[in-house]
Amino acid sequence: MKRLLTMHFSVLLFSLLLAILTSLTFGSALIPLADVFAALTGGDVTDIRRTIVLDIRLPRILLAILVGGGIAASGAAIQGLFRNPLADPALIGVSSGAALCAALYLVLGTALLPGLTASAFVGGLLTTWLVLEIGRRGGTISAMLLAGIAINALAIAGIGLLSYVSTDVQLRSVTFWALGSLGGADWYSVAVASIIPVAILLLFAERHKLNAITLGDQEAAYLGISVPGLRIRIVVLTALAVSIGVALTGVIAFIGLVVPHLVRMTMGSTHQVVIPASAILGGLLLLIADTLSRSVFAPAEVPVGILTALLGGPFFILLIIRQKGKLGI
Amino acid sequence: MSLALRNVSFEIDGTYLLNQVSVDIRPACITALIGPNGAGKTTLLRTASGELVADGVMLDDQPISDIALEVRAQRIAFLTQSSALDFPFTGLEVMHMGRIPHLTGAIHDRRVVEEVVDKCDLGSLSQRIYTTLSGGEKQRIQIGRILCQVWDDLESAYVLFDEPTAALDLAHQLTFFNIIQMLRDSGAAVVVVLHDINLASKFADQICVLASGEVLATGSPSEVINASNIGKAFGVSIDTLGSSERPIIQVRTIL
Repeated sequence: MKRLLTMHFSVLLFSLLLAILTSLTFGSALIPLADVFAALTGGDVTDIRRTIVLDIRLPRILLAILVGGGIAASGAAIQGLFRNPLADPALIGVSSGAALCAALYLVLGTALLPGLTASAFVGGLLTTWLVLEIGRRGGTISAMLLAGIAINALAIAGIGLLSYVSTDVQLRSVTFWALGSLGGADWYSVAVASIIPVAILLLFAERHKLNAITLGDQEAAYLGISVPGLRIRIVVLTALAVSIGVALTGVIAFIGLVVPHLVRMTMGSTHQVVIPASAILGGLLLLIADTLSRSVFAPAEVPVGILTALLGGPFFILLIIRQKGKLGI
Repeated sequence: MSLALRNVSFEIDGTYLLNQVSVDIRPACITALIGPNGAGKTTLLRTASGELVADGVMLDDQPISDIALEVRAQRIAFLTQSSALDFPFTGLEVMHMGRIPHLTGAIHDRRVVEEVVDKCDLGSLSQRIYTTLSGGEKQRIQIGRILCQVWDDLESAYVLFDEPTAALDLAHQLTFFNIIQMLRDSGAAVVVVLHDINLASKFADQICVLASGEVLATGSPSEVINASNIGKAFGVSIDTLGSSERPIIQVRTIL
């Protein structure tokens, strides 16, 4: 059992390494692996290739891994907390709140708000807080879930309203932002995103409590866990990880929903495994999707959010049909 | 040492679910709670465990609400009527959750779980996926989890079961009662809500009859199981058969 897990983790990490190397090589300009290594190690390579590898592709790759990992690990934790395998970080309102504030910034202008990324970040945290507060007054985990649905609907209405009053140019940037893209990656965004692994580690620290809460709130309390406190910690940590991701890249669909399932199907359900494995697999999948999105129609780019939804949707349907009882739905 | 309820009342919106209830839950004793639907059996367990806050619940002469949640979890294990567990854990992983309140290390935890698997004959279920098990099989795993929670120190443990036998077949019901007798013989206090009065009579050391949130009678099976108590609590007339120490009842008519 333990050996099998070690093997799974080794495969994941090896695949990640392979994907990084592939992603450094492919894109609108093909750079041979020898030149990639030369650029990474400070060897002999043309300046333009060095710039592409070190300042364009490498930060983008790291950003994809961090954001994808953050979304997937958050998905795993949120599914555990809500005891619902269909839960998704978007459920706590973080994505739609971020999108709403991003739209506010793009349409109503620069004077009011601090910047696109900061607006989205604040929006994500603010809506999460609202959902948490309404859920607290409702008392149950279902109340929080329903609050999330209501807040999501409100945010989407808000985005709709803003789209209605926006100019064509503004509308285009709102839409494009909502589709998600890693095109804006640079070392600055990687630095901001380096908070994500901290959030993942803190989620990992709650692994036993997340296991317990899948039994039920009452049962978790009998195992000595203060459920309201745990709920707040999990929601705040996932909101942090996801809202940073959304703020930097826009909305990326399906990673948070599908990846934890893939992990549970192959590696088991304990959060000791699900959280770290989801983080790695989420990073890997977003990296692959992003590499495809900038290579397939190069030099044009397909927004990566479209790609993850295009691939994730049918895959998830297949999963539902094939797994039947095993998903626990 | 004991877990005692002294004149405990619990109300929601003016309705008393428990009204001036006093029960002593003693170590090395199996206490059975019987009573009709809505009598307050589950509420009594939830109050005794400290989940529902009420005055007069004392664990070792200390109000239970003064004892930290984590400390309580090391002493009191509670099997609720049904668990919401809907994730594909293996049986073994579910049982390991019983070790969460303890910081005893992975090696010790594994040994405890192995012992419980052995004792409860759960070997065939331990590697299976929980969500694919039948209701009775799930219940057996959950009983195993509860045992894992208190296994280290049965002498100071309080183990509460809310209708544990409802989903079990005859043989596994008997296995369950053998297990709780073993817990009792090791010094644990066991409380079990039962619908089958004959099972309560056969296996309990102390029976507590509840009706409308009040204790009608407490005592040994021979003291408690009689036509008058059962008639008052359940509204049926009965014949008592069998030994006078552990009477068997047969229901005649609705009163």
